[in-house]
Amino acid sequence: MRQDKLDFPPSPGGDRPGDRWMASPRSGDAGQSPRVLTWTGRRRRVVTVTLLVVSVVVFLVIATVPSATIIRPGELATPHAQILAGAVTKEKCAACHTQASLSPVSWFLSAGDSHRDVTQDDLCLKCHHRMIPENLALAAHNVPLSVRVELTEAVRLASKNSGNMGSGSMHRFIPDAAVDQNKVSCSTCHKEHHGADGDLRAMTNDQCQTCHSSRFGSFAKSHPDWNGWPYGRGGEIAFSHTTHSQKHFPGWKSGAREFNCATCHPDAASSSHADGARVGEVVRVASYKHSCQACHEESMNIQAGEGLDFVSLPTLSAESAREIPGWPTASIGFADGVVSPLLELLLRADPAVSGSLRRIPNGDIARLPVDDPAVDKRLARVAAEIRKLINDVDQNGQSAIEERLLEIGISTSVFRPVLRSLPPQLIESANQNWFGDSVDSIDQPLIMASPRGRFRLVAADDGDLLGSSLLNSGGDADGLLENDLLRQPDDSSPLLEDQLLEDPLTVQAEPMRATVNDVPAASLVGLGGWYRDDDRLSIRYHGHGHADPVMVGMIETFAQLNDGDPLKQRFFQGSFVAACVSCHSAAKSIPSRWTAQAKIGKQNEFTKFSHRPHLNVSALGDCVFCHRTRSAKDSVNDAITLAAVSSTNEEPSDFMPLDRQQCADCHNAKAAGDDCTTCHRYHLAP
Amino acid sequence: MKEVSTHQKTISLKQRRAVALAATVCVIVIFWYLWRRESSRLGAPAFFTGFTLLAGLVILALLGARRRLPMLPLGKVSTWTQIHLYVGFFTTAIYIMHVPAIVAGGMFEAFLSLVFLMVTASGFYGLYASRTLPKKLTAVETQHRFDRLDWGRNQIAAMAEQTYSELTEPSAREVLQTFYQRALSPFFISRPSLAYVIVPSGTRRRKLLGDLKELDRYLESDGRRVAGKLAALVRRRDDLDYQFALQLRLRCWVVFHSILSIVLLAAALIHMLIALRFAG
Repeated sequence: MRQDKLDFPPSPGGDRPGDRWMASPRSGDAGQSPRVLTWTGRRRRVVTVTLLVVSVVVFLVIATVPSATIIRPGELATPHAQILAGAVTKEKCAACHTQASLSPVSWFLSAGDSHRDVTQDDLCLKCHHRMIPENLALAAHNVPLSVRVELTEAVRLASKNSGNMGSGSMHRFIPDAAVDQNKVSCSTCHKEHHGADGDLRAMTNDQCQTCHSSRFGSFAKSHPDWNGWPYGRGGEIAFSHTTHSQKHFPGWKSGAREFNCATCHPDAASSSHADGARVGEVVRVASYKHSCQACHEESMNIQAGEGLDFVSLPTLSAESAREIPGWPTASIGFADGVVSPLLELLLRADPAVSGSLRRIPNGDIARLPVDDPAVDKRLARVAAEIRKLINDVDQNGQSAIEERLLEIGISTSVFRPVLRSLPPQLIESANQNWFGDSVDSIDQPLIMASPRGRFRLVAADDGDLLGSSLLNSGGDADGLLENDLLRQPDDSSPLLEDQLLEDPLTVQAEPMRATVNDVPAASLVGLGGWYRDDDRLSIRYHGHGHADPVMVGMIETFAQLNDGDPLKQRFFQGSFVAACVSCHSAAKSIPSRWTAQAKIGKQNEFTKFSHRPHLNVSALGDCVFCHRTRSAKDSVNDAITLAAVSSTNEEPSDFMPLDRQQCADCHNAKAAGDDCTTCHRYHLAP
Repeated sequence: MKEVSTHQKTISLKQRRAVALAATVCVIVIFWYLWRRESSRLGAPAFFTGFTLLAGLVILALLGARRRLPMLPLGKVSTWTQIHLYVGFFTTAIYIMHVPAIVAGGMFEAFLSLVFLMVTASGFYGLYASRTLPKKLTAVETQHRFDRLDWGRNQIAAMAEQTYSELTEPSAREVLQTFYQRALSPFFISRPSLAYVIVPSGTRRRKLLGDLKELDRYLESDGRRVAGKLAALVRRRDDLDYQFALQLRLRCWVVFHSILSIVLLAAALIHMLIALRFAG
């Protein structure tokens, strides 16, 4: 027998696995000792107590700690965290979650009327409505479906033309989108609660392309060519880089001043035109003073010196003039003259006159058929309206002009610089000098109001320019004036009887009319301004210098007309106006744009670009590395096929298009990155 | 022939593990692809992984239900345990896909994350324990039911006292008395120390047996018989304490794992309600 062979008594029975109690092991007789807990009993007790403790702790935490502290799946991104830093705890969550403003009990109940139909997207737009149009906020790219269809087709064609449709590898297996493209919630792409470093705009290429029917692989191999971009997006300033660099500044040939891109496109941070701009951004166009004035100031002033009529009296036939009381003798003869664009615009307030004006081709009265009674009648109507306009302005001043513009739906705010510069006394003096001071109501029978004596006084004045006019110099030899009513007034004619002839006021007006300056009126306003030209019976304006406010006002006023309106076309064809709009081509648009707008930061294009990071690369510091002007060596086909077409003048761009492969040298997965969001933006602002 | 069969069975077990592990990895890869796909198509990947995770937790909790329903024909517990094991692997992978950070920022979400991580860690410890402790327990000569360990401990103490009282020879009693009263009696009467329960070792046993052996040279044959019997009781008591320590460890792990699992499931359900309520 081994020494350690031990015989123990059998273990006490009566307990079963799973029982909570058993007899105390210290007792020999189970019936006499208190029971003790089995492991099962102890385990159940521990589990129960633990769960109770956890429940109590949870209850206490819910009761004492704000719910926003308890329920927070992650920290907010820095922009949102900064905005909500000052908000009270409950409002922090409720800023984005309508549910957060409700108690947990109400989670399982209706949200109530106050939050009905209020979505999280509505709360997003509460702050972001300035950047995103609310009506299209949930549409993909914030554009209507029709626009998306057009863009899709454009991309498909570009891909097809680029021959890249078959390239790429895994992009064909990108699954279709799980969202309705007409209802893309903000949270679909912008994932919050990923911490302060979380990028709310982080999107993978697959996520970008899941909605697209045309999908690409890598940028270098599969992205469609962009043809003319960034050229051809329209511009506010017309400028030929080709002629300036190769013709006007051929510094590389003669050693003269070299064409320097930085002259017109300096660093924005060092330019006074871009306050607050970051170093490295390039100004789209420098100021006129710095970039254009040296060469273009003189020629511009010469061109602008031709002036522009506010009002000019046309020459009417005697039959027509007879119907206008006080119509100047100097403006009687063969129907002639041009109704200036500004005058025609103001006369349009009367629909009947407007119809008559439309029948005058290009405003040129001389092109109307002669000896046509209907034409004479129309001209008389126009002349009467001119008379009325001058009279209105004489009596009511600037408001008369404003009312006429408003009647034809023209905003007067842009025209006010013109009004401010136009002295009412000039109109008044013109009215007195041209029509005399007996301003009768033109509603009276015209023939009765005609002051016969006026014509005698004008014709007899030696100092008056009319002395050498057709009326005087023609003499009797002029057959056209033979038997002219004006030259040989017949006192006996009842038509020329005028009771005012003996009026002392009429007599006093004679010295004024006799005082006529020999110096041409235009020469008196060499520095620009309004003047009365009694030779031409017109009130004109001479501009001077760049950014003349009166010209700006006139151009912006006419820009409001429809592009198909012949009056608008005629106004902008005038050489005086052309002096402005030949460079400021966008001034004709609505609203007028005079300065070149920076493309950077604008939200209305899919493609974004900043020079800033690129100019840090030494090779790219030379603008010509990317922006090569078209030269004679470049074939026309290249220019037409590759070059951009300006949206404003539809002429080929004077730059050769950017090569995608040139960008792809750096923009690949191993270098500068080739993510979609590197160059493309999702949200398009209107 | 029997060896070949045993060998085949061992291979079969390894193959079974390999197949199960490969299947688990394949399922994880498939769900990873579906998760990426859902993310790429601007869907709701968090909901996909979240509901998958919740479903995994429910499946894991079913093991406890199966154990409490032995009367129902629901398959072997060992099969359920294997399913539990691989679903645990799977849910751990899904958790990594689901969360933006291993431990979330909010109080409740951080609590949920920590509970999940503790359950996961205890599960992996359980995997290790279930692979090592049973071998150690069966290596001990006598098996004891946990609830009867105290009774066995008392029996050993009583037998030791009786054995010592059988010693009648004065010289032998004189030799063993001091050692019994100072070393053996406290050993048999008292429960094992916390250090021993946490890290059971043979140090105590070897020391007592070594000391008893040293006393042999002062004892006659009767005294040596008694000393030998006391040594056997020391070994028996140490085996019992060893059983106690290992069984207690396993049982504490089960309690810890199950309590946290209940808390985890409840917290996950609350998290689901919150996520559904605040979504969109």
